[in-house]
Amino acid sequence: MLEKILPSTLFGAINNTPIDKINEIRIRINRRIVVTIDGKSYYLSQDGLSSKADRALIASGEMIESITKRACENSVYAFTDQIKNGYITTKGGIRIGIAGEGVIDKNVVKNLKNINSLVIRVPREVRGCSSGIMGYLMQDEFLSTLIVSPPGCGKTTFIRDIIYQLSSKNYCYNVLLIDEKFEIANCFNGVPTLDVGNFCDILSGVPRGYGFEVGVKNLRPDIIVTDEVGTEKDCEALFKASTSGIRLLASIHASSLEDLEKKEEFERLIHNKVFKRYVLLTASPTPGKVVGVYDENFRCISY
Amino acid sequence: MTFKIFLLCVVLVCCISIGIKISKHYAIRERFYKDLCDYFKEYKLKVSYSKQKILEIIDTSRNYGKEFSHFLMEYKRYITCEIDETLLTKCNSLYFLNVEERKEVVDMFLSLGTMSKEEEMEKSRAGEIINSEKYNKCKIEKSKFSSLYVKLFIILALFIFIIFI
Repeated sequence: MLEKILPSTLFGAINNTPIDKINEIRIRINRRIVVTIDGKSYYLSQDGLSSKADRALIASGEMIESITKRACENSVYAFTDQIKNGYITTKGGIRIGIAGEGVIDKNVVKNLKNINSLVIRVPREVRGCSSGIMGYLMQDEFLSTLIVSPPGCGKTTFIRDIIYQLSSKNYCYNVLLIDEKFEIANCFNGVPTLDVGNFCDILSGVPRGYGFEVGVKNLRPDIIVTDEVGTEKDCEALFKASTSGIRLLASIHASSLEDLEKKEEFERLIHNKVFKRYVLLTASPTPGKVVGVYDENFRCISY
Repeated sequence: MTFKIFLLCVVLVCCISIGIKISKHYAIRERFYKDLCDYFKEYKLKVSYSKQKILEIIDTSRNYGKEFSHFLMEYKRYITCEIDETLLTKCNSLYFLNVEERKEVVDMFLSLGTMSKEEEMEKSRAGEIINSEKYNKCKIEKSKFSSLYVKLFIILALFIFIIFI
């Protein structure tokens, strides 16, 4: 997957690293390229990983432009909605976070130009990573669950595996996946490139509000899954869906349940006990480590 | 004498072939610019309605003439990073265009896909207009010169035939 988006010189260097274990590649204009493997950061040299700064490869503006162009498959117009939101999702689920100068029109960010930083995040399919907690999420039926963790702790991988587990154990739930950023199933030409099992309908690249509305009406899901909720609109959509008798599986950025409680927009969901289970993840010692499973009253029931 | 007649027949065939080849050159140019106009129409439609990516547009495009299809394949190789910009500029599939025309076409294609949807629409609209003008010019050239060259070379062949007989 990486060879499709990286220029040959950079991919040559990446090829000299344990490529299957890479979590992140950070490319900043005129700065040293950094690769993260299992939560640890290294400089990238022509010979592979290096702890010495003087051997590190320096990213150029042309390199960043070339990666952006390749990631967009030479069709920037098809990615402007993503670019203005600060990311590009490529075929294979690689998500590139981008930083640059905003083009603002009437107080709305229309685009990002002069891109100066790229964070290439490589997705992993870790089959069975959620097996240990599945028992806590099922009580005759699936319980609405929220995965809570700071960025980079494996929320998306975890969610993908839970969806797969729901299918593979043949619970026969109709799962509706609202994959706004193409990260979970990474549909390419409508076909998911990452395995989300047999019982999953996927609405890709649509805003969550639209996904919930259209999905509930037309696809009759038992469970709705979505990633990285956070805005008031998201919470409103989640609440509406929960009152329709649909169970939810979602994730949110927060480092603890105390942090989660501080989020005003989330108060209603906590107060109404929309989520019956909260799973807290951490990146230490490795991404995807479960800190604990909590019930709707934030009581720890596991770990 | 037989050898002489044989040689003159060969000259006759050669002259007619050259005439046909030159006339074909005009036909190819006309068809190429027509395909170019149609491609920009198709591009505009597919970008505006479904924001299809360039590769998808090429893969699902309608059947174009041999020359334009060949150029699209070269362009696709550039998009998929199999060849670089300089190789596309040297593109052999555009042998029937002069250097300026070739540069114009390649630059047009290199600029595709680099901007927002609205700007791409504008670009394809401009591409359609410019190329339809070119197409009309090529159409006139073809009607003027295509049959003329065939006739000229037939006359030339007959002239040689008469002189040497």
